[in-house]
This record gives sequence, C-alpha cells and structure tokens, in this order.
Amino acid sequence: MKAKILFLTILLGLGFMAQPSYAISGKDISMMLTPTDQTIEMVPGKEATGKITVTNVGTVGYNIKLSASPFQANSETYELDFDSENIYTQLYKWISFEQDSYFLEPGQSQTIPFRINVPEGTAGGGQYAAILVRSEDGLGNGANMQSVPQIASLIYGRISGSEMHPEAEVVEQVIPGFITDGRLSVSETTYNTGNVDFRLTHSIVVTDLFTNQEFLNASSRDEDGELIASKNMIILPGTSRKNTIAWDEAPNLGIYKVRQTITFLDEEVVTEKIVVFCPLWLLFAILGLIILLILWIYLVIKRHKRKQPQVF
Amino acid sequence: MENVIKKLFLGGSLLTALAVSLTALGVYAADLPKNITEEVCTGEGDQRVCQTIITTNYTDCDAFLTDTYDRNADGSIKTDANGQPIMVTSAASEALAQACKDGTLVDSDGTKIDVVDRKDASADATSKFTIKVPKTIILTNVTDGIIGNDAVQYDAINKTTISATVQSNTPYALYLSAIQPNLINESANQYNIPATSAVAAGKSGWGIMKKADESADGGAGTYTAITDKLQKFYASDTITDSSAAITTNGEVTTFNVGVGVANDQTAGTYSTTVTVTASTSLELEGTTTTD
Repeated sequence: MKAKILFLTILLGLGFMAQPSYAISGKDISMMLTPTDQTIEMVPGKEATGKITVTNVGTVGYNIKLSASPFQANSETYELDFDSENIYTQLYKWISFEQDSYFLEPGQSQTIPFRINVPEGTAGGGQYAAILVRSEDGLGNGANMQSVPQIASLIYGRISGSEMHPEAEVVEQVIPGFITDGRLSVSETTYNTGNVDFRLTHSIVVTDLFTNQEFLNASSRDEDGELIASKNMIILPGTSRKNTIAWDEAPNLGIYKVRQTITFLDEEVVTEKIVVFCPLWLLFAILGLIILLILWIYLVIKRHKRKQPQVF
Repeated sequence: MENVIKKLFLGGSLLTALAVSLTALGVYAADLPKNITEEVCTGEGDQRVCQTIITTNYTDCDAFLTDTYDRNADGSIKTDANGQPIMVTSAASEALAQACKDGTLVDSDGTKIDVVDRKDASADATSKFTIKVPKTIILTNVTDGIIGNDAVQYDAINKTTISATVQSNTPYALYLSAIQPNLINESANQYNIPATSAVAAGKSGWGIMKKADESADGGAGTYTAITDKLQKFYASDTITDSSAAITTNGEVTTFNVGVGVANDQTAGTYSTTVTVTASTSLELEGTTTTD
C-alpha cells in the first residue's frame, strides 16, 4: 500500500513537472525604459559611460536584448531615422555593453551600463545613436504577424574639441497678414548649419493693436494645460526643421500685432507683423456694399444729367 | 430704382455694422484669459521642484492673494522646517495685493503676471505641484495579427490588427519594421505574399495602415508596405496620462493590417515578425504634472 502511495506521489510529481511552461506572447511583455534620451559628453581617445534602466512592469519574466543603432532625423518630416548613416551617426559603433542580454523577473528593475570608446582623432561635434531594447520571448506562438516590442533610448553625444561649432540660420518665417477663418498659423524653419544639435524655442505674442492688451503669450495654455504659443525642439546638425504654432481660437475680427520670437544658441530673432482678422462673410458684405454704393452714385449722376435744362 | 439701391445700401450697411459689433463683442467675451498661471521652481537638476499655481475666476486681487503662499525676496516660496510651503502673512499679502492692483505682479522669473480677469464673479483657487522627472516610456500589450483562423477570402481584403499600448511622459512615436518584410510560406519559403502599399482583393500582397492614413469615416484608407527599416506609423501629440500610476492606463494604438490573396497563391501558412518600436520624439522638455 505504502509503495502504491509512493508510486502515485512520484507520478503526480512528475505530472506537475511535465506541465508545459506558459508560452508568453508579445502581449504579455510590459517594458519600461528610462531615460528615453540623454546627452553624454565625450573626449576623443577616452572612454565615456552611460546607463539606462529597464523595468519589467508586467507579471511574467522575460529576456531582453540590447543593441545600438544610428539615429538621425529626416529633414522634411523630422521623422527619426534609425538606419541611415552619415558623419554624425558613428557613435553606435563605439558603444559596447557589459552584457547584451538580461532576464527580468516581474517587477525587476535592471540598470544597464554601457561604454563609449571614442577613437583618437575624432572631430569635435555631435554624434547620435540609439540603444534599442527588445524582447523576442513572445515569438513562436503561431500567429501570422508576430510582434516584437522594442524601445529606443536616444543618445546625444557631444565630442569636445575646437572643431565643435554650433551654428544655425532661420531660413523662413511665415506670419499671415490677413486671416478669414479665425485660425492663426505662424511658422518658422531653421537650418542647423553647424555640427552639433541645439535647442530652439519658438513663441508668439498676440496683442491688440489699439489697446495693447495681450491675448496670447508664451505662457498661454489650453484647457489641457498644454502650451499653445510656445514650442521647444531639438534640431540636429545638417537638418532643417519647420515649426508651426497654430491658434485655433483666434479672434474673428480685429487688427492685432503678432510678435514671433525664435531663440536658439545665443541668438534671438524677433519679427512683428500687423495681422487683420476678418471673416469671409464680412469681406463679401463690404464688397456688396461697395457695388451698391457705386451703382447708387451712378444713378444719382444719371438723374442729375437728366434734370439739367436743355439749351437750343 | 435709385430708391431701391439706396435702401439696400443703407439697410446693408446697418446690418453689417450690427453684425460687426456683435462679432467684436463675441471675440472679447470668448478670448479673455480665465486663469492666472504662476510657476515657481526651487532646486537644481533632478531635485528641481516646481509649483504651478493656477487661479481661476477670482473676485479681485485681495481675494486671490489671501489664498496664496509667502515668498522670499527672489520670488521663491518660503518653506518651513519640513519643506512645506508657508501661506502668506498679512503684510506679504498686502504687498502682493497692491502689486496685483498696480498690475506689477511678477512671477519668480520676473515675468509679469497679466491680471486681466479681475471682474469675474467667483473666487476659486487651486494649485498643482510639478516635479521634473526623466523621460520614460512604457510599452505593453503588443499584440500579434492573426489571419486564416476562418477561411481566407479571395474576393476581399483579409483584415486583422496589431496593437501596442504606450504610457509616456513625453511625446513619442511608434515605428514598425520587419527583418523579413514579406509573409513567407512556413513549409516552402520560396513562396511569399509580398509587402505592398497596393493591397487589393484577389491580388497577393499585404500592408499596414499608418494612423494618419486611416480614413476618418472608417472607409478604406491607404496601406504602407513594411520594410526592414523603421518607419513611423504613429506619433502622439501630447503626453499620455502621465498622472496615472505607471502600471495602469496608457494609450492604445491599433494598426489595421490588410492581406490580399490571389486564387493561385500556393497553400500554406504565411507569416513574418513585426517589430514595434517606441521612441521619444525630438521635442522638449519632460516635466510630469500631478495634482
């Protein structure tokens, strides 16, 4: 009897051990990465270090893999490009990891250090790369389109040296003079002519031309607390970036002064323009009235001519 | 005839003048700012803490200022031994009230606070606290696309979806790519369904729709051929629900996938692997606001 119980216990134990492990899919993987971007100062010929932190915020454990890739931005759309290489994207080749894969238990937060070995003689300026963290543990579940989650952490590298020259020029500014649809749209395009990224602030101030009362300024926020009339952005070397500030709830009628301020590096470009807000119906009404007035004057002159005495 | 024109002109002028005056009144009623927002920051770097005071619909400067904080000479908020902000004393209140009345009230950076809404009726002050935190992205719930559980349709585009949930304290974008862009026959890999932007019924090809290319009325939309390079398929406009706990909520983005299958397509299971990459956008600066 004891032998039977022992046999059944062992069988049951083996049965539990033989249970297939739970197959996870991309859906089960919950990954948090911080920071999503960072600036690292580097010196040619010396090693720089950085770190990112990946946290498993899900309920199952999974493996992550690390890799480095170039990163740049498309000049037209400012869509990130993680594939193209140019003189500013050599950084990914200099990045190495102590480990290129980790296993993360649920709730585990893993700090991942990395090294950057900048070759001797590298020219000063900006270098850009992305560290990609992905998990392929969800593959192999039979779906047609299996998904792999991946998060990018952008690295803005600054290589010191006399060759570093931050330079830029504003190539286009558009402030409309006449608005009929109640939507003010002010834009600017700035070209980074230097070899390092910089931050640019674009803002507008709208004031009543006659009372000087401010209707909109750089601190104005919408109902969600988002800034309406001020934007900050990064411009990478060798690219131009267009930025538009749109005020959807602009006045329907009036004459206002719009001041556009573009601040970058040590420069501030300020442009002012008088903007007339006039709805389309008012334009048509004024046009109609002018036509009626001309017609009226014509008829009055004609009547006066008819009334003049005839001389024989 | 002349009288008719005269009446039309005068009547039209009157109507236009009336409409213009009503429009102007509407503009001023609608566009006057309703809130005052004042931000005060202390500390440096990661320890920098900012407080944003938003005051809405206050009655007058006195009512507004009796409900705010005591400040140092440089405009920063005075704190007690525990680091808690100290409410204004009567003397400070009077000074600030006078500044408010004089229109010379400034924030901690010396920027003039435009007190334009003194005539509003009720007094109601709220405050928000902000703290600068590193930019963070959480990517969860990335789902697979499945086609073929039911019979494959040859006379229509077969549809499925891939989705991802992102929570971020900074604007972000989602990029899709595939090392092998074509759907490959698992048992005979010389056969495939190519990635294409021209997905059509009865013609073998598959594509994924960018969010910007979806038809607003739920119609057809335009597909994009996935490639081995990362392509942007979605960009968030704003920060997503950063006040929520990090393991809850988030923005779900669902991509429509279309697969056309020709009558003569070799039988079998076709598949590929799509990488969904979340990345921060090139905007500034990541500050998280919590009530």
